[in-house]
Amino acid sequence: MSLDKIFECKSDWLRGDGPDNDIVMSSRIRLARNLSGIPFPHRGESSTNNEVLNKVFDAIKKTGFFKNGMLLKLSEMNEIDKQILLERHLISKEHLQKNYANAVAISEKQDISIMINEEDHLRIQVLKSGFRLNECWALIDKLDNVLEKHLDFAYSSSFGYLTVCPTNVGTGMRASVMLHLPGLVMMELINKVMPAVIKLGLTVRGFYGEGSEVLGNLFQVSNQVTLGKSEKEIISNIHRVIGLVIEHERNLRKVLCHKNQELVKDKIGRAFGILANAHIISSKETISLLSILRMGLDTGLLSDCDAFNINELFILSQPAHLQKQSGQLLDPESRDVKRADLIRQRLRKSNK
Amino acid sequence: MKCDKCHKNEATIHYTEIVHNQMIKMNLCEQCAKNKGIGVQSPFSISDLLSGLAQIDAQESMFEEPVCKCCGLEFSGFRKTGTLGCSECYKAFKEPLKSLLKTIHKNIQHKGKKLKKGSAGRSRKVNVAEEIAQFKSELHKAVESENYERAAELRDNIKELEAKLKKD
Repeated sequence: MSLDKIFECKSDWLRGDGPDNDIVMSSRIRLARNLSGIPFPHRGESSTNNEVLNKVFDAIKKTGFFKNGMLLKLSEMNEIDKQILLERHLISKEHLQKNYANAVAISEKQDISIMINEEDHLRIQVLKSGFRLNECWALIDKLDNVLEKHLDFAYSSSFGYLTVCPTNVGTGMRASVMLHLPGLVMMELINKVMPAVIKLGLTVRGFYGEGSEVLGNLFQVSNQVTLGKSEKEIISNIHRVIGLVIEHERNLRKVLCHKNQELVKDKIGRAFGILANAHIISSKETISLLSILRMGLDTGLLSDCDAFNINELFILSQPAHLQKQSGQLLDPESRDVKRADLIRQRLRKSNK
Repeated sequence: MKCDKCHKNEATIHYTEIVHNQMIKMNLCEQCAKNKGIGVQSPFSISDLLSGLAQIDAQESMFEEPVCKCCGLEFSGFRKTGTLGCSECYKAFKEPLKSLLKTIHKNIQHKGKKLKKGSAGRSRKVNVAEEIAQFKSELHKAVESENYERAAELRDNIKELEAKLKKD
C-alpha cells in the first residue's frame, strides 16, 4: 500500500461509531516497549538505531498484523507526508521532529501503528472510534504477545516494562479517550470538572497530545500512573471516571436543548452558515465550528447532515491534508482558501 | 494573522501574560517578540520536573555516583535529563530510582502484564531466587533501621516473588 492510499483510505476510527460515540470520538491505547541491553534511541549511535529498526521491522513482518499495511522510514518521506501521519494520529509530534532512524508501521485499517525509535524503541498503539478501550486492550495485548516472541523486551519483575522515562515504567501503557464536551464548555463547568478528573488520577491534554492546546471542545484524557496498577485496573478506572463525565455532559446537553433551544439552534445555524459559505477560513475556526455541528448532530437539532462527513472534515481540513489534496505546497493564506473550498463542497453535497 | 505590534509580518508567536489577574494575549512576529525580549522557549517539560526531583533525592543520599555498565550513563546525567540510557540503567540506579518512582507512581512494584514464558526475553530472565535473596537482605536492614513501612513493602514483595517461584 502506498502512502497515497493512506490519504485516500478512510481511517477506521474516523467512522465515528462505537459506544458513547456522541461524546467519545476515539479511544487509544499505547504501549512503550524497549529492547533489552541496547541503548535507548536518544543515546544510541545511528548504526545501533538502524539495527533496532531492522530487528523490529523483521519482527513486525512475522506478526501477521500488518498484511497489506505499510512500513515507512521517516527519513525517506517528504514533509507533507509525515505531517499527514501526524494529523491522522498515526505518529506523534516527537516522532516527526527527531531523527534516530525512526520509522512507523501502519496496519491496513489504520487502527494499529508501531512507531520505531520514538522516545522508546517501540511505541505500539491501537486507535478505535467510540468508547472502546477494552477492545483496544484486547487487540494490543494480542499484538504485544506475538511481538515479545520475536523481540527481547526489557522487563524486570519489580519495575515491569522498562522505559526511557520513569513516568512510563511498569505497564508502559497510556490509555486515552478523545472527549467532545461542548455542553460542559458552554455551561462553563469544564473548569470544575477537569480538576476533579485530574484528582482521580487522569491527565487532560489537547487535540494533538502533550503540549497541544484545546481546540473545538476536544479533550484528550489519559491515565497518569503506569506502575503499581494492572492494565485492567487502569482501564476500569478510566471507564468509571469518564462514565461520570459522559453522564454530566449528556445532562447538560439536554438542559441546553430544552431551556435554551433557540440559542443552541442559533449557534448551530450560524456555524453551518459560515462553514457552508465562507471563502477564507483558518483551521482553528474550522475545528470550533465543526465541533458545534457535531453537537447539533448528536443532539438531533441538526439532521440533514452526514456525521461521517463532519468527522472526516476534522482531519481533511488540516494543513497537510489540504496540501496533499491539491498536490502542492501552499502558504497559510492559500490554505485558508482551499480549506473553505473543500468544506463548502462537502457540506453542500451532504446537505442535498 | 498579522503581528499586533508592527502589523506587517505574519504573527507566529502567541504570547499570554498574566498581570494582576488580567490575561493579556498578544500575537507577535518573530522580530517584534525578540525586541520585546520574549524568547521562544520550549514548553516546560516533564523531564525538567523529573530531573528536579532526582536532584533532591541525590542530595539526600551521599553514596558514590553510580554508572551504568551497559551504556555508560552516569547518575548525574540522568539527573540532568530525567531520561535513562538503556534498560540496564534500572539496575545500576535501582536505589535512587525507587524513591523517584515512589514519588511519581506512589508505588514501586509492577502489577500489570508479565513477560510470558517462551518469549525472547524470558531465556535470560531475571533470576527470581536471586531477587528474593536481595529483598531479604534489604528487609533485614530496614528492620534494623526501624523503617517498618519499607519493611512491610519488602515483605509483600518477597511473598509475591515466592508465590511466583512456586507457580513457575
